[in-house]
Amino acid sequence: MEQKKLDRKKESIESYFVKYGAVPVETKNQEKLGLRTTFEQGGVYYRMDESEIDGRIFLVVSAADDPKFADVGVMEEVAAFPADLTEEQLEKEVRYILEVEPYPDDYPDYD
Amino acid sequence: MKISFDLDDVLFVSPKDYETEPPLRFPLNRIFPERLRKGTIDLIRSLQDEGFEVWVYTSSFRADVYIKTMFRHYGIRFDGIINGQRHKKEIQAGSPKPLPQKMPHLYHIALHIDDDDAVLANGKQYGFRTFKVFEPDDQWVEKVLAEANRVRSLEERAVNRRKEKQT
Repeated sequence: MEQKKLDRKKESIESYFVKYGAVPVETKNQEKLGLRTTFEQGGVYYRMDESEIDGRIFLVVSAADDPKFADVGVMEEVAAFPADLTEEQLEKEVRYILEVEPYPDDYPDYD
Repeated sequence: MKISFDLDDVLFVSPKDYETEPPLRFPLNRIFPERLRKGTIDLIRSLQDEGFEVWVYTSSFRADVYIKTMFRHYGIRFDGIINGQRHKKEIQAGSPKPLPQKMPHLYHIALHIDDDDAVLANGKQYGFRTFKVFEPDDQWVEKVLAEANRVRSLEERAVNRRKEKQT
Protein backbone atom coordinates (compact mmCIF):
# COMPACT_ATOMS: atom_id res chain seq x y z
CA MET A 1 0.00 0.00 0.00
CA GLU A 2 1.40 3.39 -0.95
CA GLN A 3 2.33 5.82 1.83
CA LYS A 4 -0.48 8.28 1.05
CA LYS A 5 -3.12 5.58 1.45
CA LEU A 6 -1.45 4.37 4.62
CA ASP A 7 -1.48 7.89 6.05
CA ARG A 8 -5.17 8.26 5.18
CA LYS A 9 -5.88 5.08 7.13
CA LYS A 10 -3.98 6.48 10.10
CA GLU A 11 -5.99 9.71 9.89
CA SER A 12 -9.15 7.67 9.82
CA ILE A 13 -8.14 5.77 12.96
CA GLU A 14 -7.22 9.02 14.68
CA SER A 15 -10.68 10.36 13.90
CA TYR A 16 -12.10 7.28 15.69
CA PHE A 17 -9.87 8.04 18.68
CA VAL A 18 -11.55 11.45 18.86
CA LYS A 19 -15.00 9.94 18.29
CA TYR A 20 -14.52 7.77 21.38
CA GLY A 21 -13.32 10.57 23.61
CA ALA A 22 -9.54 10.75 23.18
CA VAL A 23 -8.08 14.23 22.88
CA PRO A 24 -5.01 15.32 20.93
CA VAL A 25 -2.14 16.51 23.11
CA GLU A 26 0.99 18.46 22.31
CA THR A 27 4.25 16.63 22.79
CA LYS A 28 7.76 18.01 22.79
CA ASN A 29 9.43 16.06 20.05
CA GLN A 30 6.58 15.30 17.67
CA GLU A 31 7.86 17.35 14.77
CA LYS A 32 11.52 16.74 15.45
CA LEU A 33 11.00 12.96 15.45
CA GLY A 34 8.44 13.02 12.65
CA LEU A 35 5.79 11.42 14.85
CA ARG A 36 2.05 11.65 14.43
CA THR A 37 -0.24 13.34 16.93
CA THR A 38 -0.53 11.79 20.38
CA PHE A 39 -4.01 11.31 21.87
CA GLU A 40 -4.88 10.97 25.54
CA GLN A 41 -7.76 9.17 27.13
CA GLY A 42 -8.11 8.11 30.77
CA GLY A 43 -4.46 8.84 31.53
CA VAL A 44 -3.18 6.71 28.64
CA TYR A 45 -1.41 8.19 25.62
CA TYR A 46 -1.86 6.67 22.15
CA ARG A 47 -0.16 7.27 18.81
CA MET A 48 -0.57 5.78 15.36
CA ASP A 49 2.51 4.24 13.81
CA GLU A 50 3.31 1.66 11.20
CA SER A 51 5.61 -1.28 11.57
CA GLU A 52 7.01 -4.00 9.36
CA ILE A 53 6.23 -7.39 10.85
CA ASP A 54 7.43 -10.52 9.03
CA GLY A 55 7.92 -8.45 5.88
CA ARG A 56 4.42 -6.91 5.90
CA ILE A 57 3.42 -3.39 6.85
CA PHE A 58 0.95 -3.20 9.72
CA LEU A 59 -0.79 -0.25 11.29
CA VAL A 60 0.35 -0.11 14.88
CA VAL A 61 -1.00 1.69 17.91
CA SER A 62 1.65 2.62 20.45
CA ALA A 63 0.81 3.65 23.98
CA ALA A 64 2.29 4.93 27.23
CA ASP A 65 0.90 5.63 30.70
CA ASP A 66 3.52 8.13 31.73
CA PRO A 67 3.20 11.63 30.25
CA LYS A 68 6.99 12.01 30.43
CA PHE A 69 7.44 9.03 28.10
CA ALA A 70 4.62 10.20 25.84
CA ASP A 71 6.24 13.60 25.65
CA VAL A 72 9.48 12.21 24.27
CA GLY A 73 7.72 9.70 22.03
CA VAL A 74 8.73 6.58 23.98
CA MET A 75 5.79 4.21 23.74
CA GLU A 76 5.11 0.48 23.56
CA GLU A 77 3.18 -1.17 20.75
CA VAL A 78 -0.17 -2.46 22.01
CA ALA A 79 -2.11 -3.19 18.81
CA ALA A 80 -1.30 -4.12 15.23
CA PHE A 81 -3.58 -4.84 12.30
CA PRO A 82 -3.40 -4.77 8.50
CA ALA A 83 -3.92 -1.48 6.70
CA ASP A 84 -6.42 -2.96 4.26
CA LEU A 85 -9.18 -3.42 6.83
CA THR A 86 -12.53 -1.82 6.06
CA GLU A 87 -13.56 1.38 7.87
CA GLU A 88 -15.91 -0.67 10.01
CA GLN A 89 -13.09 -3.03 11.03
CA LEU A 90 -10.74 -0.12 11.78
CA GLU A 91 -13.37 1.47 14.01
CA LYS A 92 -13.80 -1.88 15.79
CA GLU A 93 -10.05 -2.01 16.45
CA VAL A 94 -10.23 1.44 18.05
CA ARG A 95 -13.20 0.36 20.16
CA TYR A 96 -11.13 -2.58 21.46
CA ILE A 97 -8.05 -0.46 22.13
CA LEU A 98 -9.95 2.23 24.02
CA GLU A 99 -11.88 -0.44 25.94
CA VAL A 100 -15.23 0.61 24.55
CA GLU A 101 -15.73 -3.12 24.11
CA PRO A 102 -13.67 -6.20 25.05
CA TYR A 103 -11.54 -8.12 22.58
CA PRO A 104 -13.74 -10.94 21.27
CA ASP A 105 -12.76 -14.60 21.65
CA ASP A 106 -12.74 -14.89 17.86
CA TYR A 107 -10.38 -11.91 17.34
CA PRO A 108 -8.96 -12.49 13.85
CA ASP A 109 -5.62 -14.00 12.97
CA TYR A 110 -4.11 -11.58 10.44
CA ASP A 111 -1.56 -14.04 9.11
CA MET B 1 -8.38 -9.83 49.92
CA LYS B 2 -5.70 -8.70 47.48
CA ILE B 3 -3.21 -11.13 45.96
CA SER B 4 -0.43 -10.06 43.61
CA PHE B 5 1.73 -11.85 41.07
CA ASP B 6 5.20 -11.18 39.79
CA LEU B 7 5.44 -11.47 35.99
CA ASP B 8 8.86 -12.69 34.85
CA ASP B 9 9.43 -16.38 35.64
CA VAL B 10 6.08 -16.55 37.44
CA LEU B 11 3.28 -15.75 34.97
CA PHE B 12 5.64 -15.13 32.02
CA VAL B 13 7.77 -18.19 31.35
CA SER B 14 9.86 -19.62 28.54
CA PRO B 15 8.08 -22.23 26.40
CA LYS B 16 11.44 -24.02 26.19
CA ASP B 17 11.25 -24.96 29.84
CA TYR B 18 7.56 -24.71 30.75
CA GLU B 19 4.15 -25.70 29.47
CA THR B 20 2.48 -22.49 28.32
CA GLU B 21 -0.87 -21.09 27.29
CA PRO B 22 -1.33 -20.76 23.50
CA PRO B 23 0.36 -17.69 22.00
CA LEU B 24 -1.75 -14.78 20.82
CA ARG B 25 -2.70 -14.68 17.16
CA PHE B 26 -0.47 -13.04 14.56
CA PRO B 27 0.67 -10.24 14.65
CA LEU B 28 -0.16 -9.82 18.35
CA ASN B 29 2.29 -12.62 19.13
CA ARG B 30 5.03 -10.36 17.76
CA ILE B 31 4.18 -7.31 19.86
CA PHE B 32 3.39 -9.41 22.96
CA PRO B 33 6.08 -12.10 22.78
CA GLU B 34 5.74 -13.14 26.42
CA ARG B 35 4.17 -16.55 27.02
CA LEU B 36 1.91 -17.33 29.95
CA ARG B 37 2.58 -20.23 32.26
CA LYS B 38 -0.04 -22.90 31.61
CA GLY B 39 -2.90 -22.51 34.07
CA THR B 40 -2.51 -18.73 34.46
CA ILE B 41 -5.88 -17.90 32.92
CA ASP B 42 -7.82 -20.46 34.95
CA LEU B 43 -6.00 -19.47 38.14
CA ILE B 44 -6.72 -15.76 37.83
CA ARG B 45 -10.35 -16.39 36.89
CA SER B 46 -10.78 -18.80 39.81
CA LEU B 47 -9.27 -16.32 42.25
CA GLN B 48 -11.51 -13.52 41.03
CA ASP B 49 -14.55 -15.82 41.09
CA GLU B 50 -13.71 -16.61 44.73
CA GLY B 51 -13.72 -12.90 45.53
CA PHE B 52 -9.97 -12.18 45.54
CA GLU B 53 -8.64 -9.00 43.99
CA VAL B 54 -5.83 -10.00 41.64
CA TRP B 55 -2.95 -7.57 41.09
CA VAL B 56 0.34 -7.58 39.23
CA TYR B 57 3.41 -6.41 41.14
CA THR B 58 6.44 -6.41 38.89
CA SER B 59 9.75 -4.65 39.13
CA SER B 60 9.86 -4.52 35.32
CA PHE B 61 9.18 -1.24 33.58
CA ARG B 62 6.61 -2.59 31.12
CA ALA B 63 3.87 0.01 30.82
CA ASP B 64 0.62 -0.58 32.66
CA VAL B 65 -1.25 -0.28 29.34
CA TYR B 66 1.00 -2.95 27.79
CA ILE B 67 0.37 -5.45 30.60
CA LYS B 68 -3.33 -4.64 30.71
CA THR B 69 -3.79 -4.95 26.93
CA MET B 70 -1.89 -8.21 26.67
CA PHE B 71 -4.01 -9.85 29.38
CA ARG B 72 -7.24 -8.41 27.93
CA HIS B 73 -6.54 -10.61 24.89
CA TYR B 74 -6.79 -13.60 27.23
CA GLY B 75 -9.99 -12.24 28.78
CA ILE B 76 -8.27 -11.23 32.02
CA ARG B 77 -8.67 -7.90 33.79
CA PHE B 78 -6.43 -7.22 36.75
CA ASP B 79 -7.72 -5.25 39.69
CA GLY B 80 -4.46 -3.31 39.87
CA ILE B 81 -0.99 -3.16 38.37
CA ILE B 82 2.19 -1.95 40.07
CA ASN B 83 5.16 -1.78 37.74
CA GLY B 84 8.69 -0.54 38.38
CA GLN B 85 7.68 2.99 37.45
CA ARG B 86 4.76 3.11 39.88
CA HIS B 87 6.78 1.54 42.69
CA LYS B 88 9.54 4.10 42.15
CA LYS B 89 7.08 6.98 42.19
CA GLU B 90 4.80 5.89 45.03
CA ILE B 91 7.07 3.84 47.30
CA GLN B 92 10.72 4.64 46.72
CA ALA B 93 10.31 8.37 46.07
CA GLY B 94 9.00 8.99 49.58
CA SER B 95 11.91 7.26 51.29
CA PRO B 96 15.41 8.62 51.88
CA LYS B 97 16.89 5.10 52.07
CA PRO B 98 16.76 2.45 49.34
CA LEU B 99 13.77 0.16 49.80
CA PRO B 100 13.21 -3.38 48.46
CA GLN B 101 11.99 -3.67 44.88
CA LYS B 102 8.53 -4.78 46.10
CA MET B 103 6.53 -3.70 49.14
CA PRO B 104 3.12 -5.31 48.59
CA HIS B 105 1.84 -4.66 52.13
CA LEU B 106 1.92 -0.91 51.40
CA TYR B 107 -0.83 -1.58 48.83
CA HIS B 108 -2.72 -3.77 51.36
CA ILE B 109 -1.81 -6.86 49.36
CA ALA B 110 -2.15 -9.83 51.70
CA LEU B 111 -0.25 -12.38 49.59
CA HIS B 112 2.40 -11.89 46.91
CA ILE B 113 3.48 -14.68 44.52
CA ASP B 114 7.11 -14.48 43.34
CA ASP B 115 10.05 -16.61 42.24
CA ASP B 116 12.78 -14.43 43.73
CA ASP B 117 14.33 -15.51 47.05
CA ALA B 118 15.27 -11.89 47.78
CA VAL B 119 11.61 -10.87 47.62
CA LEU B 120 10.67 -13.78 49.88
CA ALA B 121 13.37 -12.73 52.36
CA ASN B 122 12.11 -9.14 52.23
CA GLY B 123 8.66 -10.47 53.05
CA LYS B 124 9.99 -11.86 56.31
CA GLN B 125 11.90 -8.68 57.10
CA TYR B 126 9.19 -6.18 56.21
CA GLY B 127 6.17 -8.24 57.21
CA PHE B 128 4.40 -9.21 54.01
CA ARG B 129 3.27 -12.71 53.06
CA THR B 130 4.82 -14.40 50.03
CA PHE B 131 4.48 -17.70 48.23
CA LYS B 132 7.17 -19.05 45.95
CA VAL B 133 6.39 -20.26 42.44
CA PHE B 134 9.26 -20.90 40.12
CA GLU B 135 10.04 -24.29 38.61
CA PRO B 136 7.63 -26.20 36.35
CA ASP B 137 4.94 -27.62 38.62
CA ASP B 138 1.71 -29.27 37.43
CA GLN B 139 0.10 -28.46 40.75
CA TRP B 140 0.99 -24.76 40.90
CA VAL B 141 -2.59 -23.56 40.32
CA GLU B 142 -3.97 -25.70 43.15
CA LYS B 143 -1.10 -24.69 45.45
CA VAL B 144 -1.65 -20.95 44.88
CA LEU B 145 -5.42 -21.32 45.36
CA ALA B 146 -4.86 -23.25 48.59
CA GLU B 147 -2.40 -20.67 49.89
CA ALA B 148 -4.73 -17.79 48.98
CA ASN B 149 -7.55 -19.44 50.91
CA ARG B 150 -5.27 -20.24 53.85
CA VAL B 151 -4.14 -16.61 54.07
CA ARG B 152 -7.71 -15.39 53.77
CA SER B 153 -8.69 -17.59 56.74
CA LEU B 154 -5.79 -16.19 58.77
CA GLU B 155 -6.75 -12.63 57.87
CA GLU B 156 -10.38 -13.24 58.79
CA ARG B 157 -9.40 -14.78 62.12
CA ALA B 158 -7.16 -11.81 62.88
CA VAL B 159 -10.02 -9.39 62.11
CA ASN B 160 -12.39 -11.37 64.33
CA ARG B 161 -9.86 -11.37 67.19
CA ARG B 162 -9.49 -7.59 66.91
CA LYS B 163 -13.29 -7.19 66.98
CA GLU B 164 -13.56 -9.42 70.06
CA LYS B 165 -10.92 -7.38 71.87
CA GLN B 166 -12.79 -4.18 71.13
CA THR B 167 -16.10 -5.50 72.56
